[in-house]
Amino acid sequence: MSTARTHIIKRKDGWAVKKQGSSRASKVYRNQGDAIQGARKMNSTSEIVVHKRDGSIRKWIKKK
Amino acid sequence: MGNTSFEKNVFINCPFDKEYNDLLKPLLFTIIDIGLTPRIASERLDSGEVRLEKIIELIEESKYGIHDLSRCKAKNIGDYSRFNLPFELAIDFSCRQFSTKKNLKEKKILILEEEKYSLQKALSDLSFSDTKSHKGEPEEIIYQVRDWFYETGKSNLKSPSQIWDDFNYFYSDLYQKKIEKGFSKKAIERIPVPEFLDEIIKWSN
Repeated sequence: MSTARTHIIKRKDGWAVKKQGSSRASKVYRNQGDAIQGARKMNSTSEIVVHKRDGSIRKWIKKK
Repeated sequence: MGNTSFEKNVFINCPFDKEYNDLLKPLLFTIIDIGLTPRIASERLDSGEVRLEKIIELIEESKYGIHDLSRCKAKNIGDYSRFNLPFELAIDFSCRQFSTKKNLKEKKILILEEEKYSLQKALSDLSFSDTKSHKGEPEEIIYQVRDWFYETGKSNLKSPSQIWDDFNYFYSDLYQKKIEKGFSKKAIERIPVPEFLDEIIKWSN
């Protein structure tokens, strides 16, 4: 399991950016596009896993 | 069947179709996360077995029953309603009501619906039953089912948001594992329910 994996997960009030292993989300955005942009700016992550609203995978982004 | 498995078994009465999979998957995950065992009619594929007998057996083996009646309604004019769902709920109620066995008298039954009180329009006999609404949302079904188990006496449960996040983490690990095994994205989404259930169990251990 990668420790540098960040997830974009559906929340009742938007889309959370949450690093796997963290107890809390870094931030909750109103839409998924903004959440992805927010995750891209995080230096501590190498992979962004974008989930659909049912939890399945929409996109897997590997940062260079 | 030992008494231990009865205490842990959760009979699930819900539609087994593509449309309901979005709710069934997090429901299965929640039950396993709580430390219980989901029992579904599709867990064994034996065409020689009479379906109703199998369902009665599952109900008798399960302390808990979760009945999702949110998809009973016919979709189009001329379609029939799904009578299997309320029928199986009635079997579970009857099992608790009329059985002389002590453990079956202790059965706990949860009825799920999409919108609060919507069932009363079609099944007013259920007005005082334990119903919860999931609004058709995968995240919400985790909240409602987890909270119901807490109300029935299960303690030391994770928060519902943690279970939801873990479900998402599980999905990413499953995705990675299956891609490495040559599955397409579409094939991963179409993994049959028994296989999905096996994967949750493996991930949770």
